[in-house]
This record gives sequence, C-alpha cells and structure tokens, in this order.
Amino acid sequence: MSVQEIKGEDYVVQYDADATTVKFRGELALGGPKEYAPINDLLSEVVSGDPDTVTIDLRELAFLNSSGISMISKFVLGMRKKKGTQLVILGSDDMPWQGKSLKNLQKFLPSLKLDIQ
Amino acid sequence: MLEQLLPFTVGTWAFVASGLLVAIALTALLYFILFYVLRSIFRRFENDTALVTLNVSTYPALASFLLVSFKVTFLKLIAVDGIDDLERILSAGLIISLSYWLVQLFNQVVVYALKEYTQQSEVMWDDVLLPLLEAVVPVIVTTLGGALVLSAFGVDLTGIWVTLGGATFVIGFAVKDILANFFSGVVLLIDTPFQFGDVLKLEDGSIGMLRRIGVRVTQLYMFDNHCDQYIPNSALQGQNITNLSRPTTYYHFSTLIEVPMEHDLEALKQVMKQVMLAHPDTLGSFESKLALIDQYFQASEAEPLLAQQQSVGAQRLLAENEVNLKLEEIDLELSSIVVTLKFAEKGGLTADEIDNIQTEYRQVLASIGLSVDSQDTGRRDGDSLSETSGDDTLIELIREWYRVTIRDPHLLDEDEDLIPEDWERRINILKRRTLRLYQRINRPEREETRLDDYVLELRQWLKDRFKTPRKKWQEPKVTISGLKHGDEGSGYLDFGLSFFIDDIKLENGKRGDRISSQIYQEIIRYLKQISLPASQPESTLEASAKASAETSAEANVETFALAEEIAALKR
Repeated sequence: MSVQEIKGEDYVVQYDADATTVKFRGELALGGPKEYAPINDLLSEVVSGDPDTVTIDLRELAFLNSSGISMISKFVLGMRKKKGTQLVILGSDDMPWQGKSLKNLQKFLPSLKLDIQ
Repeated sequence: MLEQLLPFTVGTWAFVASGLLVAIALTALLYFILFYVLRSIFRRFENDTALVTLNVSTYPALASFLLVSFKVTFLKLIAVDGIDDLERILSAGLIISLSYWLVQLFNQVVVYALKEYTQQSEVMWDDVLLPLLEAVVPVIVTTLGGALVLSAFGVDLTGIWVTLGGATFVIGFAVKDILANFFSGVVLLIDTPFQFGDVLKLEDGSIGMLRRIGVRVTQLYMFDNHCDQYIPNSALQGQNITNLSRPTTYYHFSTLIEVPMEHDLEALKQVMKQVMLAHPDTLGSFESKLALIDQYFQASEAEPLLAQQQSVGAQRLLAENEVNLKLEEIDLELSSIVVTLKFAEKGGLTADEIDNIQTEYRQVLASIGLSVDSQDTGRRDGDSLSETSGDDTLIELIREWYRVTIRDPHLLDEDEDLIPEDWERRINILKRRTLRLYQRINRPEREETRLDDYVLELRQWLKDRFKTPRKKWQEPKVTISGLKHGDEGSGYLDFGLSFFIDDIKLENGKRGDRISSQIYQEIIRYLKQISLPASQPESTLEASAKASAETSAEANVETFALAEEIAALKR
C-alpha cells in the first residue's frame, strides 16, 4: 500500500493511492496560498492520473481557515473540467465549519458527491 | 460690517466712495486668486473638469461679486434721489450675470461630464437626452432670467404667464403626436430593450441596425437596401421587435439542400457537418473546427481569398480559445472567492479572512491584467487600477484576438474600427466593475455580508455581457427533413443545414449570407466531385465547378436547380 503524507504541527494530510483518498486530520490554519502549496500540489497530483473516483475525507478535520477553504474550493471547482473523475467529499456534522460550507461548493460543482455523516 | 470698518459716517458720499474702493480692491484680489492661484493648482489635475469650471466661472463670478458689493454699498444710501433706478440696474445686472454663469456651467461642465460618463458606461441616453437638455435648459434659464429682470424693473408679468399657460394647452394639443413620439422615445431609452449598434428584426421581417433614437423618430440602417429608415418612436414602441444581438451577437442560419437518393446518405451527412464546422466563421467546438479547417474551402483561381480566410480563421479560433480558457480560469477564481466568503462571513470577517480574500481577489485582477495602484488615502475612492504588461492576461488575450479578427479578408473598413471599439468599451466597463468590487473588498465597512453577492454579480456579468461561453446547442446540425419525387420517378432528399455565425453585425449585415453561400458552394463542389465518373477529364470538372460557383452564390434557398444539375451530370 502506497501512502503519501504531509505532516504539520497540528495536522496530517494523507494520500492513500489504492483508494485514491486524501484524508485530512487535525486543524489546518496555514497562512496564505504559499503555505498551502504542498497540499495543493498533492491534490493536483492525485487527479493528474485521471482516476475514476477521488475521495477527500474531511471528517476528522476540526478546523480549516479561509485560505484553506480557498485552496480546497479552487481545487474542487477545477474538477469541472475533469468530467471523467467523480469527486467525493466526506464530511461530518460534528465539525461546525463543514455543513454549510461544503454545500456551497456543490452549488458551483453540481456533480460533486457530498457525504456528510 | 462696512460701516464699522470705514471711518466715515454712513450715508455720506465719502462713505460710498471708500466702500466702492474696498469693493474694487476685493475684486482685484479675487481676480488674482482665480487667475493665478487656483488656475495653477487646477492645471496639475489630470481631470480637466475643475479647470474648465474655473475658466467658465471667472468672469461671471467677478462680475457678480462686484455687483453684489455695489448693492451692499448703495443699500446705505436710500435717501439719495435716483438711487432706486441704480439699484434696479444692479439687480438686473446681477440676474443676467448669474443666468449667464448657470448656462455656461451647464453647457461646458455638466453636459460634458455626462457625455464622458455615458461613453464609458452601458447607458444609452446620451444621444437624445443630452442634446435635448443642451437645447432646452439654456432657453428656460434665459427666459426665467429675462422675466426676473423685467420684474426687477417693476413690470407686471401676471398677464403674460396666464396667456402663456393658455397657449401651452393649445400648442400641446396641436403637437400631441410629436409629444407621443417624444415620450415613447424617452421610454425606449429608459427601459432599453436594445443598444445602439444592435441588429433588430422588425415585425415586417426587415433587418436593420439601430443607429439612434431621436426626439421623434428612431433611425435604423437597413442592410437590404443600404438605406436609413426612420420609424416614429411610438410606432416602434408598439411593435414586437426581435433583437438579434441579444443575448449574443450570434445569429442562426439555415439552408436547404436537395440531393438525389442514390448518394450515400450517412457519408453525405457527415461531410455536410464537416463543411459547416470547417468554416472558420461558424460556431462549434474549437477542437473539431481546428481539426477540419484545412480540409475544406481550398483556395482556387476564382476564390483566392479562401486561403487567407482559412488561415486567419484558424489563428482567430486559437486566440479566441485562449480568451475562453482565461475566462474559465477567472470564473473558477471568482467562484472560489464566493465559497470562501460564504464560509468566512458567518460571525463577521476577521482581519485574516479579509486579508485572504483580498489576496485571492488580487489574483483575479492579475489574471484580468490589472494591478492596484496603492494610494493609502483611507477612502474607498482613493484606489485605482492600472493595466499590467503581461502577455497572458485576459485584456491582452482579447486584444490579440481582435487584432487577428480584423485581418479577416472579408471584413469591411467599418468593421475594422467597430470590433476594437466594441471590445475596448467592454474592457473599460470591466475595469470599472472590477475596481468597484476591489474598493468594496478592500474596505468592506458595513457590507461584509454582501460581498459574496457582489462577486457573484461580477461573475454573472462576465458570462452574460462580457463574453458568453460557447454552448453545445450552437454546434452545426444536419437534419433530413423530407423526401421528394422528381418527374422521372427519381427521389430527392431534403437536407436541412443549420448553423450559427459569430457576429450578425459585421460585413454590413451580410456576413451570414456570405458564409451560408460559401458552405453551400463547398457542398456542391463535393457533390460534383463524387457524382462525376472517374474517366471524365479534369478540365471539365473544373469548368463545371466554376459554372456552379456562379449560380450557387446566388441560389441560397433555391435548391431545385442544384438537384436538376446533379441529375444532369449523372446522366
């Protein structure tokens, strides 16, 4: 099983290549696009192989700041061009930031499958 | 105040003389301030409004000031004989000077500023309302000024007003049609279903370009007979008008072609679709158009322009594709800002969040080709945007695109001005809109919760009004619509070709006809090629193709001739 990982003080981003799943954990509050670049690169790399499905698991991400939302939303909306890949986002109602923000993403990318547990 | 300053008793000639001297001295001081101090300051401004206002105001202001000073001085001399007349003359002079000032200010400053505003924006009342105001306002001001001057001399004007009231009623009744047209024109201008330059289809089917909406009539340039047509505003308002330029300048065209049954229908349908796609001026997916563009419309002696048409067309399609990709990128960035704003506005924007959104918006501006000139004045209107020099910005890509477009050999001289003007106007509006949004994002003040709507508004405007993205339904289509039988029992099939052309306005409104004819001709050329027996000499083929080119250029919908010709060829 090949797993790629980006680790910071309060967060871990893991990519499981077999399940094409990127899992976010902890609290992400980096300052601006530059600091988010490694995560962004990882996400771009994941979709560059045109997989059938890509899953982004945010269930254990307790906090995400607005730069993080900008990064994720740009990535998600960029999927409009990649018609062959089904994007799935897993969220959790226990995390107060998630519910409404993720639904807003769906307005701009109707094909997004949103699974909020 | 004067009596306290001057060492003379009020009412004496010495007091008056010294008062006059003071007035003249102050006027001289004012002259110096207006001519030397303010003028040198205003000259440094980029905008000339202040300077023009000053130029227009200097003499009326000096005259008014002098007259007011005289009045104040003479006010104290009530006891002197003849002073009443002098006072009246002064009042009259003051009224004349003020009216003159007002008229000048209106004509040189207000009208000019309004004209500049209308040229940069999407409003269209400048052509009618402004000349009208320019004509009417001075007359009203002068009339009122004249009436006031007369009443200053003690003339009783009540009788004149009453007569004028009665006359207005009579005149109004006599010119009610003109008034109806006038108000229809105003309504058309305010509730604008079209803009100047839009191509309209009237109820009788004629097509023309809107030139101007006048006080009484609307001027349309009719493409068919190259004449101006004047329609009374009220008649135009009462019609069902089709605006061919809205929502896009794309225009739908359809042609019918009859083909003998013996042909391979599937292959023929395929070729027809390919011919339509291979024409650079029809709409369709960029990839398929670029792939096919070299395969059809080969230049010949009779049609030497075709080579240039196809090569410029290919370059133009590439340039347009770049613009579309850039717009998609900007759309994505704007959507992402909306998502971020919706996320962040709960509980108010923190400094960090505002900072992030500003960074993201600057990214959008960079993609458009704009950068912020930072002048920290603390006010919203202190900011301004300037163009950056990059090649990969939206503005530069658009310019590149229109520069290629106007190299199209079929375009007329007017078109070569029209296209850049149109785009530069849109770019200016884009600049204004993005600046307004920047000002709001930079200093949200109390509008934090509205920012997402403002971003959405810009995004929608880009899609609807700036440049609409290509849609699937605009792809060329071939339909088989019917079967006919000829005299000798042979069968013909009706093929319906339908396609969109890129801009109805160009080539004096004949662009669609030209494209349609070229497509028709190319299909005939193909039909002839496959119909001719292989043994027929090459030269005969060319000659017949030439003959057909001449007929088919005119025969757009008249298809029976073609079927006959093909049948004859087959025999």
